[in-house]
Amino acid sequence: MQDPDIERLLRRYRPLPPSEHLFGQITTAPQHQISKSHRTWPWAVAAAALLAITLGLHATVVPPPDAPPAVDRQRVEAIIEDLGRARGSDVIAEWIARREFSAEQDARAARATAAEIVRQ
Amino acid sequence: MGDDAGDDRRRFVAAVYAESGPRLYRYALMILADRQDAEDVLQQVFAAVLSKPALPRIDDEGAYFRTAVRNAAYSLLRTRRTARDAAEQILEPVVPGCSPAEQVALEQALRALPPEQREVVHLHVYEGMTFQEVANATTASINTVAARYRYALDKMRKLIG
Repeated sequence: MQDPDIERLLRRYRPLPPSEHLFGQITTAPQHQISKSHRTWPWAVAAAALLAITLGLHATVVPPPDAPPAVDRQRVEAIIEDLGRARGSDVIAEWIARREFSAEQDARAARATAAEIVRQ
Repeated sequence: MGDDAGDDRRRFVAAVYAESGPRLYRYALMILADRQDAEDVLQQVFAAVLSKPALPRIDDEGAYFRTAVRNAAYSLLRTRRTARDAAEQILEPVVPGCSPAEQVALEQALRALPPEQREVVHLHVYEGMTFQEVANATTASINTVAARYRYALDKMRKLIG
């Protein structure tokens, strides 16, 4: 295929004409409505999708914080009693009960490890 | 906009569009290879005229609007972030016996060209400009224009076979 063949091929076609409504849009629409079409910006959609994917991945990769251990309500009530049922004592009592529970679990794990070492 | 100046501008825009709208649209379409973008550019250009407090003083309307469309089209290309739909039709047959396969191949070859090369092909082939006239219209040297045309035809030949 030579240059004249390409030019002949090009001349068998021509760029499409504008749509019929363009003239009306340009000449009759209020000026503030003319400057932009209502097409959704593809890059904005892509950015939103990327953000959603990133957040989704983050949610699946980062484990949720450990659920707080179940609190022993009786122990909490006892501590509240010890604190004289002062204002805010319920919060402090719950915190102390959780710390005690956690310390007890650590001590139990340490004892189990020590027993395992002794057996070996 | 109901004032006399506004009506004048609308009449002026309507007259220019009736005279040159389809030609300007085809020019924008060949630079951008996207119909919606081409419409956006034309609306932007004419809206700019409508928004002026007075009609611009224009000696050569054809050249004025062609340059305005060109500037708006390349400005849009600079901000364009996504590829356009390669399946969208940008040409229409003007002679009988054109095959859809031939048209698709030609459109794909045109899309593969840089906008500057498509622009030169358009102005030379479809608007019948000489290379010197294309150079004047695009503020490029005649050598640059001739080289762009040569590269464009070489690439199209390779792609179409």
